[in-house]
Amino acid sequence: MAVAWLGLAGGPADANVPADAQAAPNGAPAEAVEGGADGGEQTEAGPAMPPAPPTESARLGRVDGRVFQRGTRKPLPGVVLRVGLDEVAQTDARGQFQLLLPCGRLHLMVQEPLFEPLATDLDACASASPLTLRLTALGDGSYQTIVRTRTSHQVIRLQGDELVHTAGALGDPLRVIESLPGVSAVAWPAPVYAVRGANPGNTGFFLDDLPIPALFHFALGPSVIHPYFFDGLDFFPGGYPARYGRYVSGVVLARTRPAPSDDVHASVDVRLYDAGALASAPLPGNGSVVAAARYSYTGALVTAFSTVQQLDYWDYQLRADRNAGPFRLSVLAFGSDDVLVPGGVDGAARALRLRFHRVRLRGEVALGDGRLAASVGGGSDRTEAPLAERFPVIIRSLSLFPRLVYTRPTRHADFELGVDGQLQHFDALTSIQRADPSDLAQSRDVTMVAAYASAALRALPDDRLLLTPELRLDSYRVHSAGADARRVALGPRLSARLALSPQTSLTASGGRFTQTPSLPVQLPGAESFGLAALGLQGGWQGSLGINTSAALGVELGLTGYVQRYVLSDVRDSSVVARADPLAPDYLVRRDALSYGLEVILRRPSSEKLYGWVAYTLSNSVRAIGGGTIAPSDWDQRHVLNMVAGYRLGRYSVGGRFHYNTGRPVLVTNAFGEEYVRLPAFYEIDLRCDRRFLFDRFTLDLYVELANVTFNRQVQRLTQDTANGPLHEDGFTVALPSMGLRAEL
Amino acid sequence: MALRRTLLLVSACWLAAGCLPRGPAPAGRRLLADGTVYGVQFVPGPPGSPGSLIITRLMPDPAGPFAVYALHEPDGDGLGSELLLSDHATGTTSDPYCPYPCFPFSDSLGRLFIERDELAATSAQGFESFVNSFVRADPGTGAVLDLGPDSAFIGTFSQGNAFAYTVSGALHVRDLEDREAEVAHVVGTPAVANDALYFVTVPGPVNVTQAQPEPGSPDMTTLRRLAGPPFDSPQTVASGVSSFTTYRGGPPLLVLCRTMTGDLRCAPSLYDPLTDQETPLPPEGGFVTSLSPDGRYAFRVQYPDPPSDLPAPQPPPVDGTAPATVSQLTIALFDRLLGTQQSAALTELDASYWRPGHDELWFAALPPRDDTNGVGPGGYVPTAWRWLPGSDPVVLSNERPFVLFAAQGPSTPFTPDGRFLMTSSPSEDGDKPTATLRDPDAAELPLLTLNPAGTGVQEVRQLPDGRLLVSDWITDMRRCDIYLIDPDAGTKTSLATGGNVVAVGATRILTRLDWVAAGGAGSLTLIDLATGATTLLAENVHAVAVEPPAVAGADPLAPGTRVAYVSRNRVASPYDGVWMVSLP
Repeated sequence: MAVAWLGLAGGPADANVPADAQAAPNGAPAEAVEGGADGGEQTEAGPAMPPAPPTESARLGRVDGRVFQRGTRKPLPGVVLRVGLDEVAQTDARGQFQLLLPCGRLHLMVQEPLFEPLATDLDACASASPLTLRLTALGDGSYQTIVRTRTSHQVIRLQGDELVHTAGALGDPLRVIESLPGVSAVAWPAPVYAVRGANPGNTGFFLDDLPIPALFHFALGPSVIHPYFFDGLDFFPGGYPARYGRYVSGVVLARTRPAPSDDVHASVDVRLYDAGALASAPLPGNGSVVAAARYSYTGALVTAFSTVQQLDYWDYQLRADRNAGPFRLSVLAFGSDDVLVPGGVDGAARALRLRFHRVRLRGEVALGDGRLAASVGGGSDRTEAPLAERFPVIIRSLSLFPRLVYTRPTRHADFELGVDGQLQHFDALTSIQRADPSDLAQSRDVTMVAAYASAALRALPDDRLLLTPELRLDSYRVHSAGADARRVALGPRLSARLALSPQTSLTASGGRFTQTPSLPVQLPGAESFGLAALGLQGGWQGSLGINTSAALGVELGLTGYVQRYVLSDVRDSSVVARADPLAPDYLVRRDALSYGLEVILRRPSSEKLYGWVAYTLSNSVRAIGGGTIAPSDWDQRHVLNMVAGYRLGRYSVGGRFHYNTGRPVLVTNAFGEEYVRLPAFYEIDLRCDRRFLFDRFTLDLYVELANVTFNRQVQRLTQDTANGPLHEDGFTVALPSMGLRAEL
Repeated sequence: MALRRTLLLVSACWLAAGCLPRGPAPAGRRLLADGTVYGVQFVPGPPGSPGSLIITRLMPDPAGPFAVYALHEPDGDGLGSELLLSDHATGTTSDPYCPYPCFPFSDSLGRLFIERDELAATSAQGFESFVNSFVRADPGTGAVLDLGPDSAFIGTFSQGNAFAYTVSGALHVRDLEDREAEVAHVVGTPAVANDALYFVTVPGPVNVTQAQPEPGSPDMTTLRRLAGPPFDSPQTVASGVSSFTTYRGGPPLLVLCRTMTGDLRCAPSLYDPLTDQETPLPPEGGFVTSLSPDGRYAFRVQYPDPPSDLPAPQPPPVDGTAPATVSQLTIALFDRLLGTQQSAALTELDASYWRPGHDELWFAALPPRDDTNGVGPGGYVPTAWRWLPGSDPVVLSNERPFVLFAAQGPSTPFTPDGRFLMTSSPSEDGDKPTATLRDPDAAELPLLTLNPAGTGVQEVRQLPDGRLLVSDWITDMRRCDIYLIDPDAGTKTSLATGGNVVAVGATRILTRLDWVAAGGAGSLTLIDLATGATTLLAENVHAVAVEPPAVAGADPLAPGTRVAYVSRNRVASPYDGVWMVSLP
């Protein structure tokens, strides 16, 4: 606790006026200051007492207090308290301070960056103690939406409150990525994202280095992670670091953070279709724990308006951190459950059930001049889905995710060495017995281990050049009753960032990435298969970009990319209703190529008006055999996203304009088949937030409507005759979202 | 400079996607570079001559959707040439009951018959009327004989030296030299049986060409027969016959019907064209539904006359409960040799089948009504019955005949050689029952299960050696797992997955694997039955035609057999078109 004393002559003390009853002279609300009942206490020397006052005749009073962020119970460390020009105290890590001031009325001022200034009068000998000061954050605590880090990798970082406030994302951080360059939301509003022309299943999602087996709940539900459990997201559209692997396209890294250890905090959010809660508390001794959970009552709504018998989901997350001697330990656990039982007498046979659990224990310790981190994660997945409409297929899996990382920073380079693994056992139960099933429908053991080395080298004056050569060696093994397939893949990677000027830098990255065959959409348990039949998916990626900070706080980024892969494609993607994912030829190995240009023009959210314009021009083609190079099923040539937010006092309004040209679909009629692109689609999303600040808690109210213009999303084209008109099969959906969140 | 060139080259390669592999070229020789071809067929040529190749394209018309072309192979290199034979075609004529493989009807000069359906007019209310017709087309010369509006093909006879057709109901015959005769006063539908034309006439001049009056009472109808050219006067087969029936796929017998005075029903008889003998059937016993393979027995069904003041019997409810009204029916077997008839009573008859090569009738039916509860044992679920002439029908408990719809040939629960019966459990509803192979002579004991759980049997073909080729489907009837089953050895071998069988040879089969529903195409692949070895011929094959063997009974997939196929990718491909390959 920081303690200060003041020997300056002040104004006459007004011992009869409690501090919290006096209006702050600068207009700061009086309720920003709360006083205790122990004012007027005489100064007593103690271990932490300051030097003796300069004048012995001066009587001193002691005031203890804490500084919080208003509307929360979040203490603010390092906040300087002044009387006049003199610094009289500074808060410690828990936001606490202690004042030793001459008796008499003094004018106490607090000015902290990113917070509104606060002033109050107090008499150290008469004011109540402890004194609670609450600072109101500027812009309601919003900091920054997108941050381009100084890493050499091309990464877009999302963090802060804007993770959940971006219009169109419906409050879900993972949905924000659909507004970023390089991303095609190929079946909006379904959260299926194709990154840089690869298949949706080629992009990996991690939560603190642990793969997330499914991202979203059913039926346009939210992501499986509570939005306020996130600390931030790092989106690597390509050329991701060697620490991660087993995906040939990009990765999305969701980060959590330790819970605050100062006090118990809690938040409750109630939305139109689900309710959740997040609570954190300090652990005895040291450390903290945070837990979140969510339950959907969509089922009641859906069953009221449709023939669906059941639609439910829930999820949970937990993180605990603790120091044990030199070790920093943390436990992370999360899981999710979805049930969808369609209507009809055979609804149970056609039910879809997804459930997964993940838990990870991580320890970190200083070792030499670096740090050693070890973690082991475990997972349990269960997927039940109908095949051929009424034959349930159940896949269960158990997973182990060990990881060992050693990092060592030096003056000119940051080194990292690591090994990680993914050990899985799958059990598949199906009532369909076929001649030569895909090993997706067979029990199998999967062993995937990797070792990697990375060096982030800094060169040239002022470290203008950041060069990161990396090497990752992956070993894959899928062992089933029918086959024992092994593959080894070397993945060299190189990324560089060269600062041409303080405002402008060039970036480049390239490398090779590998992955086991994958389905178009991630499902728990439906992974790590097909190695014997299809081999590894693999791809070379290359990108070159330039980033510059122009005027008015606007940043411009321009990136071109080329990716050449061999992918596991769905052989016949036009067949959805009769799809047979367990067939041995459901997937086919295809050569693929994608290239494009990404442009982002952004104004950071530290500004009152913030947002970004992201445009992606891409071309993604596949060698489908038979002499033909055809567009990918996910190829959207032009994607434009304009996201804007504006703060107006306690209000925040935002909007998003999205436009994409259509992806190709196969039009079939009695006269033949041909690829035709779906019509272009655009949508406008609007969002309005209102924050109510109370002393000890915050109340957020938001209303959001995605696709306010009710534009029709066309999913299919049909044609009755060869030269007849095309009929558009689709739907019009506007997604309203309304919620209330209270944070203590 | 070299580096710059290399970079430019690589960039161009990337940008043009030229660095992506395009896949193997189809095997054989391309006859036509055209992605619009829909189908391909061989037409048998004149005796001793190779067949002709015809192709079809789809027309943007709701009427006859095909345009039919003859495709001529080039003498040297280059592509073939095509001749339009007919537009607005609905198809080529062929015998729907012919044994596999089937080819279009053609005359002895190799000319084929094409049925047409053309939009005639559209009324003010939007109703469309169509005109049916057919043409005879010569694939070699392109010469087309249009038989005129409202013409319908009856069949070829006299070993392909003549054909019969009707124009607005009037019967015509025409020979190879286009000498034509019209037969007047014909009623009902003529038919070709035993290489002759049969028809029923009412009194009057029956041959316009020869204008010979026919004696007889005004209401006397007569069954007549016309042999091939030179179209002499039709022979009288039987008098008083008001209608007749032929049974394609069965023995060459005609079932004649003579109307009984004062009765709507007719008195049936069996007529054998080979011996010219007519055998009357007892009046009771109902109409003849089928004939035994050797023609000795006729299966008859007599439905009860519904009382005029009662509602007609209702079909049984699916839950097995008794319907409000239950009708009894009588089935009978008539022995043509002995002239005897035996009968049995049933509550409901579902279907009946003669076991190939045997005088043995199997049917799916409900047992006779039980007066105590109104239904027979087992509720209203039809089960399989076996009826051997001379004995009573015997039920096969808890099994019913498993019958596949056959695109060609009769639909039957038996293998073509009659050795095996396929059944399924009556409790298994839906489109994927489990089919069991049984010995009809010991049907209580199942031999083999044809399809794994969760799959449906799409097709069963029998090889010349008696083994079975079974195709099972899961989500798409053209994407099948293909098994080779040896019923004698009790073995079941997986041959391929995800495709369908195109043709069956003595030692190998031709398939389209990796079937893609979009576009309806698969990889044309030969599979050796002994080793399971596959030979890929072409990808994205939409339609296939195998040339008929020059010698009847020869291996349809012998090395050197010509196979024409349409390669059509979902996206326009440089390989699209019609190809011809000689099988390795």
